Amino acid sequence: MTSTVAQAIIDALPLTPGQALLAPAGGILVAALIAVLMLRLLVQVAAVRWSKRVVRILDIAAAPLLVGLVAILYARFQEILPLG
Amino acid sequence: MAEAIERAPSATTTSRFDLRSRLLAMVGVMTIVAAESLTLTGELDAAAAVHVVAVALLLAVGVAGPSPAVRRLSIALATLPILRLLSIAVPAVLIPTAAWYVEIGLPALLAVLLAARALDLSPRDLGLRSMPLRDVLALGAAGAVLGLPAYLISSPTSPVDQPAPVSVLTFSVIVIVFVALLEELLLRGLIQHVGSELFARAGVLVSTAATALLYAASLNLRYVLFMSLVALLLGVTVRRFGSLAGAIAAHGGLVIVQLVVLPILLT
Repeated sequence: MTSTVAQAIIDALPLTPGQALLAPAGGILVAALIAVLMLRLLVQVAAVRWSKRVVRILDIAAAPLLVGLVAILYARFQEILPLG
Repeated sequence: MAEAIERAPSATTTSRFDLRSRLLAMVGVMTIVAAESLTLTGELDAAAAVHVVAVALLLAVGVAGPSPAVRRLSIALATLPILRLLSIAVPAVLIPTAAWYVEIGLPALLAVLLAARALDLSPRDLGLRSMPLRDVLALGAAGAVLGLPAYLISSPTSPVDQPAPVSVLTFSVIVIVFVALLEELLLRGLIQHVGSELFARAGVLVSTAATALLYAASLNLRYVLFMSLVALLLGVTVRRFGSLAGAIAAHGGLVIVQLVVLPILLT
């Protein structure tokens, strides 16, 4: 067990593709990503002195969540493809 | 770099930072603790939502907090709920456990590097600098020895289905990069460094507390205590040598023995 792969999370993982598709955790990540990207766009177009600094700070969340979204989509496709 | 968050004054001059900063920092930390508590109880969806709140709060303090030192520490600490959000949302039963380390570790590593960029930390500031090879090897060997109690306490199952040399080698590289390197860069390189700007020597305690918080989800109190002690030792090592090389070697030795060698030999 490490900081990334933890027993509490393994114990509570959805066991079937249906449960996985209905699990809200992925949706929460997507909602957070959309919110961060929207905020990032708003800050970017605001012609203020500190916008570049704030964009850099927002990128700390935006980039990893985007990579996380790709991993979630890959996993969901792996789960639903056998059903088709 | 003009656009980066300005560096905090030395710890001695910031020891009496104002009440508002102290309060904001406490609220941010308490939100992470609350989110981790929900993770421990298995309420992963609620935990994910509270982790998002923690990220938003810490980044907001990082943007507009009143004290530069608190702003910097908030940005560094924001990487913790990002990592946990990824580790809750990304794993899937159909994907092999070994691959989880990569799909969570890769974006987490990205978050650490982007936080370092936002804080204007150079690779040297993160501890990426050379160290005498003899010391690195000695710490690696010490870490490998600590892998035995870590294995006995946590009893991990082998994530490698077949102990073929290629699978074992691949998983070894994965745990060195996405466990040892990632955790040392995040906890000692980023959080301890920025924590030391605010709390001087007690920066080691900040990184140790962050380690305990992340390992709490193992649901094994003895393991949390063990890893906290290891984190304390690694923190002191990084502070003494000014380099992450020894800590990465020690952590790498520990996880190789704990997660690769002993599970294969004893299963």
